[in-house]
Amino acid sequence: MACQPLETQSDDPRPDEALVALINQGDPNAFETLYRRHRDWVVNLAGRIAGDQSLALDVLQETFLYVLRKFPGFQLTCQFRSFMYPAVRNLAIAAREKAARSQADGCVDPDQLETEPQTATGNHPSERARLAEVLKGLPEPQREVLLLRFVDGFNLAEIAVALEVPIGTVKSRLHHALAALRQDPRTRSFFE
Amino acid sequence: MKDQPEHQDDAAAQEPIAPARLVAALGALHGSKIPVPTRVDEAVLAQARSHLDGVAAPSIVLFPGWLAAAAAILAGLGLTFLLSNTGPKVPAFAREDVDRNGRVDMLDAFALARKLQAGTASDQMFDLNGDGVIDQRDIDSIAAHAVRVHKG
Repeated sequence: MACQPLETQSDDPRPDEALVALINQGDPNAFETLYRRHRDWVVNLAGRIAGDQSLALDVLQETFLYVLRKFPGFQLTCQFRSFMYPAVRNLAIAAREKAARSQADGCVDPDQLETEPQTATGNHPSERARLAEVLKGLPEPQREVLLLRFVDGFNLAEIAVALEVPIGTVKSRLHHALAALRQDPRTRSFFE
Repeated sequence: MKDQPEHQDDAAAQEPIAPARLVAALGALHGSKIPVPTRVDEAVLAQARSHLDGVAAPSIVLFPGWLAAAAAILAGLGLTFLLSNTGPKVPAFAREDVDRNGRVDMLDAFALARKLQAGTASDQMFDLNGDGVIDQRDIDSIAAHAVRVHKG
């Protein structure tokens, strides 16, 4: 399945594949470049899924240690973020569930969990609140594809690789997610 | 809301486009930046340096042919000597050998299941299928391994 390049957050022009090749030879500087390039995406994605900044930082560390253990001998066969996505998602879900269990046992302050996403400029707060409500009501697979496409900037092929589903399924989920937003009176205004 | 069938229908044949205002609102909702403390960076990079320190490719030294042949003979003799001596051996356990008894069997699957239930299976060595999470699939992996071993 074809993979297209994603935006990176590093000035280093070397592609991820070249960095992976260097890490396989034991180059820690290449690992640092790869880490700094994808760190912010990983921690923000983890925060979105786990719903807590502290958990997100734990997931960030666990994710890169998981990647580290793949070396030497790691072969990157698709975009690095497509490869990383399932690990971040699984670790974040596990962290969230563990925290919820601890919360049930009275070990964690309930206020630490289920934090609402931070608001930012650009849209009326109530409009964003309505959007958040509608998103919450979407089936998880549809919401996941919608956010991967329009928040994380994955293209359809990268989403298909990350979720291990056919590209037609990705298109279908995205189509249905947008249709649901268009039909819902709380979010219809975005389409007018 | 009911989930839709997972197939590509006519309406989804082209990539669905979202209005710019919606994309901006999604970004505002979920595009928040979590600051990463320096200590987290340092912890990850220290682990990387430690792990990769043992990965660096060994340098290759070329010996003259006669020296290489002599070294091979000496190595062969040394290996023969070592194999003929039956001193105490340090057991090398498979990752699936959860109970460390030198065998991979269904008891290891039960052992991991108990660890999972007790919440003590956090060591990533138990992530046997390498998907980043320790769960039932890792138990299944041990069970499959145990069955293969018994068949052999």
